[in-house]
Amino acid sequence: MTAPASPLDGCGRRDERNAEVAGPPWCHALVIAPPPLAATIAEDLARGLSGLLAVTCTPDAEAAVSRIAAAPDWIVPLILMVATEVPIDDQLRILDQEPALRTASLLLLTDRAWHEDVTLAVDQNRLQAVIHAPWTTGTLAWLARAQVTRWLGANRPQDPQTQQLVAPDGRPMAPPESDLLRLLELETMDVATQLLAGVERVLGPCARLRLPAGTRLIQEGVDVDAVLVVLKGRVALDRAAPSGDLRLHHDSTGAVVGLLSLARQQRAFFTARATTEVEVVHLSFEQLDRALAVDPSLGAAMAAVSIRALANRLQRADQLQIEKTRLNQALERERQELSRTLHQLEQARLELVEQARFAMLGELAAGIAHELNNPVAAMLRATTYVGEDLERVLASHPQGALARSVFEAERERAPRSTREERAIRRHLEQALGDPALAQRLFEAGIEEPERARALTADPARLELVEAAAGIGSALRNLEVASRRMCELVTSLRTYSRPKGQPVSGIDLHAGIEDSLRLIAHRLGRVELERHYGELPTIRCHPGELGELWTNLLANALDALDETGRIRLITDAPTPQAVRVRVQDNGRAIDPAILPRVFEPRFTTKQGAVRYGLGLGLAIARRIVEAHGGTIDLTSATGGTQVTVVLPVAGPPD
Amino acid sequence: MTTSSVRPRVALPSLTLVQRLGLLAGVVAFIIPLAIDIPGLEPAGERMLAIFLLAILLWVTEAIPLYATATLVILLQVLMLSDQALVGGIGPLPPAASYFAALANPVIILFLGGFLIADGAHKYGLDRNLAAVLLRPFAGNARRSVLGLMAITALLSMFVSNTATAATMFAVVIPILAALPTGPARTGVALAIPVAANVGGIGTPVGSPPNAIALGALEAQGQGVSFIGWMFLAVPLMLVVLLFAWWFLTRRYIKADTPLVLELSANFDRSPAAIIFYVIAGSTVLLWLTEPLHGISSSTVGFIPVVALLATQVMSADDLRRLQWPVLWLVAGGIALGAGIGNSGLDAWLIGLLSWDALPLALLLLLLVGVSVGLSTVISNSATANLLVPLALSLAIGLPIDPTAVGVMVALACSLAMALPISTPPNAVAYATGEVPTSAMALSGFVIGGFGALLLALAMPSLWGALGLL
Amino acid sequence: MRLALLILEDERAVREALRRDLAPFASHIRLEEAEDVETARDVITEIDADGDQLALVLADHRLPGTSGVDFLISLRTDERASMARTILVTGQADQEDTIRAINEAQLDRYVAKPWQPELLCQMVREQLTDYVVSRRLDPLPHLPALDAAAAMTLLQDRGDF
Repeated sequence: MTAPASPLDGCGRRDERNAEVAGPPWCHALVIAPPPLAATIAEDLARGLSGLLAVTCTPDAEAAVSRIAAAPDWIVPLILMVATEVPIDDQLRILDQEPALRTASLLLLTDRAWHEDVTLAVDQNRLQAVIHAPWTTGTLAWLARAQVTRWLGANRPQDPQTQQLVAPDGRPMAPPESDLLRLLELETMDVATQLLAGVERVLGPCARLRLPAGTRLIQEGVDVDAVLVVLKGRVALDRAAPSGDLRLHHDSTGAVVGLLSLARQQRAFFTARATTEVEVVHLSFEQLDRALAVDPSLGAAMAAVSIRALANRLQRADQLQIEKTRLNQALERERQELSRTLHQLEQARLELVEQARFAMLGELAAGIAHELNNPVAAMLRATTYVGEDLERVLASHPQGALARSVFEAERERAPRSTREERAIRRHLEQALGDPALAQRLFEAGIEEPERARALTADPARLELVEAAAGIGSALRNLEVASRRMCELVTSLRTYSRPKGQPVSGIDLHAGIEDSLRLIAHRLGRVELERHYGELPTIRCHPGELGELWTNLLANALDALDETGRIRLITDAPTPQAVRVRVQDNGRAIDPAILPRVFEPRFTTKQGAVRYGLGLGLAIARRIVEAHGGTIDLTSATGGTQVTVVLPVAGPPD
Repeated sequence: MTTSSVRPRVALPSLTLVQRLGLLAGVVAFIIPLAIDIPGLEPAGERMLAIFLLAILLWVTEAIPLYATATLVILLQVLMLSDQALVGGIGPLPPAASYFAALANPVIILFLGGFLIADGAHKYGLDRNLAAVLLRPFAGNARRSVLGLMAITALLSMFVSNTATAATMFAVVIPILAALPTGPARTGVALAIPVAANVGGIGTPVGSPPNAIALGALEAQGQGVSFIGWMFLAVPLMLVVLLFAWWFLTRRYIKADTPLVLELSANFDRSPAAIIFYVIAGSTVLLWLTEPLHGISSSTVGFIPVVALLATQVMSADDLRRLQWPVLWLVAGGIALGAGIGNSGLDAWLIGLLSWDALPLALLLLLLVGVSVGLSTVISNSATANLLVPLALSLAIGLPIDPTAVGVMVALACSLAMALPISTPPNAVAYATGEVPTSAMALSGFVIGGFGALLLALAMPSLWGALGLL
Repeated sequence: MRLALLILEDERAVREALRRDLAPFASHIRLEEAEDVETARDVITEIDADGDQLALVLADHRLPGTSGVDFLISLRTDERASMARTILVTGQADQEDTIRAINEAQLDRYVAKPWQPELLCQMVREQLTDYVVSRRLDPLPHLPALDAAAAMTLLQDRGDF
């Protein structure tokens, strides 16, 4: 075994010839070393590898690569590299150019005390062994053979040659030489059996204890002064926790229970409990001590048992750590998911509250509308009756014809601007020279100076005319007012009207045109642009949509002065939806109230119910939402646009 | 009202056609006597005539405010007839100070006292409370109530300006009027107040500016009349005319069964300041009425309350500021004008124009009273007095009658003019309430004023003579 | 010179109702109407040109294009109308607007719709009187439109002429 160290510069020419040692012609061990040394190494290697590999020498990594490249069918399980000036990592990179070399086991032969050029090799798990030069003859061969055997078992398990070397489980046929490593390769139970056999050799036969499942072999917090060798059955380790017992280890228990606590001379950290029926041997601290003292070889078995147990436990702990991390990550994900859901729930709740508010408003509005309907209808009728009856009364009055004409003229008088009215009054004032009288006559509807003069001369007639005109204008105002209330009542009822079944096959454009006809009287000089796109027919409540368009158009008209432009744009952004945009170029909506435009509020302007920013948009929103669509309003200087998107499929059921 | 609002614009009133003509005619009338040599009239007289003619036209047409004309008269006299005249050479002229002195004439001082007491009476609610207390005995019957109303109005008007009296009484009566049915009763009550206020104004020297103007002119002639002396001359007429007016108005407008209740609650101010005021005002009136006993002239007496009220701070600088200075200056202008006419010899020349001796005295007096009433019906009483008092006093020189009688007569006649809304401020107030048609005012003014004028012209001189007052 | 009252109201029926309720004033003061702010300014110009004075404005709160409050505020910088008394006639002025009207437009009175005609007339009378008193005008030509008893105070220091 103690062969003299071969000088590194011992061989050269054999390497020059690339001398090949016997072995299968395609299986090679590669020696990368300067020529004289390479020969020595090759010689030593060949001893260990005969029958397995041929040994090929190359002077450096480049040569090795080109050599392998020239022989594509070669298998290279082993490379032995001698440390030179060129850093190992660099050489490794060169070798890695050739795929056949990438899997090879690498042995490094060095005479240096320090290496700082092997980071890559270690990091990539390429360095299998570091051998110091000079080496003991045979060392190289032994190491190389072990490596090659392992390599073949891993990479070419099917080769017949490999099967001779390696056991079916992939481990080398030759067992380890040391007791400890040999024992470590055995099954836990076998080790325990061997340990027990050794103990029994010293102490004499030990009794087997048979214990049922659930028996506590050691107890948490109790001093441990014995070990239990488990020969059959399974044991779990539990630890008491505030939330109940925590099972930490089950299969990782090991064959000798209590060993760790015994080693640390302290109270048990776990409770060991049999989970099946177990067969154990009880060994007290003193018995174990005696056995180990008498037969030191038992130490290896003891150590193997302990290492086995520790390794199991450590592995289990590592698994737990990994599991914990994974669980933490999952937990974090779930936490975020929950927070998102919570937020969504809160949004949904707010929307529901809002919807409930509007629904309540709607109900309230409908209730008020219902209550108002009758009195308003009665009022409206009453104005007509008063007018009719007054005409009958006047028919019998001597001045009836005059009074009646004045009454009717005043009742039917179309609205005029105050500017026009003032001009007429001024004219009358100038003609009469008496502002107060002119005012009086004007209020009686007398606007022609001649007539005014004639009436001034006859105070009794003037009184009559004034009274008739007064009734006329009062009746007109009453009628206008009751009509407005009617409109308002109708709007209110619409706000929460129950609806029937949606109808399919509706052409939106036809509906929009109907609405345009309805408000044609209000369009006046407003310019109307239609940009109608191709639309599929949709399923909807056509009556409600008509109301929607009317409200949106009225809203646009309100924003405009006498002149202006309304643009109607329709298109189908997706096959499942249609879109209608109503644009006006009128006054922008005050940004302060923009967020509230869809809330139901009432506005009246210039004597007519205007939908404006009042009930109209609230109704529009209700209709659109009932159809499962969306409505949006944007407003800026230059105009306002309302966008309605409706699903072709119609209202959700 | 506010600090942030802009200052309202001051708009000058636009002149009416009459006012424009008045200005133009005034300037022409002013130039003629200066440009043409008038026979029998000294240069000073010519200058005074120019000023007099200008004053007549300006006062009659009111082309500029009455008080502005008055100050103009004083200024022109200083510039033309004083030692500071721009163009001299017409002999010795009085010092300018003698014209300015008109602004502080004793009569003005008397009035100052009267005004301050009147304002104080209003400030401390004495006028209203006195009215409330004095009305009580008359309650019960509509006509008696009206008599009471007129009596109290007249009494207040003797010491307070006619306008303020009418305003106070209307403020009290308007809510009561509103409760009456529309018709003659309202008219009657609304007429009773201005009539009584106008007539009451003749009762004392401080009752009305014409009185002061006459007093001032008489004093300039050395014929001063004491406070109580004036009352002896005027109050009998006042009472008779008042009674007649009551009789006329109630018979014509107010039925005995009219539901007129004139009951007011009196609520005398009992604060120390008010009590001091009562004492000072009472003392002053007492001193005025007792002049013959102590001999202190009414003007001097009139200045006592000025000093006393200001010293005790019962009346403040604000109250002083609010006094009716325009009226005082108008009176001062009249006094200055009268003095100028006398001093310049214009009076003698004017009287010389006509031979008044040809007319009987009674007719002459009737004419004088008639002209006074007529003129003051259409223009301001004070302006009428300003114009006519100097003329009348000049006239009296050649007549067999005491000039005092003539002066007093003109002053009283001016106060009897009340036929039109524009005749006197109380009439204007009554008319503005809308309760009095012009026709009713014209009728009552004509009847009552006519009755008073006849009485004044025909009966009073004899009465005064018989009573030995003159 | 006549006192003028301006009714600023966009709704015809309300305007006519106001006019009718204020008819007792028509023979004594100048009643003008405007349906929007622009017309109102024209009316003010006309009143001024005629030598009359805008004494009182009855403004609706909601007006086309602007608010009555804004108009009243703008009046304060108009020398022809800065002394005019102001009444806001409204059904729905919110607190903010009302505060602004009082602080910036020196609003004198606030009338809620529907109004009581007698109370409205009384308020108009008071405000006209206040206007006459604050400008120390001769109350006599306008006396039937004024609170006569209060207006009489103005005559106290007038004096006899």
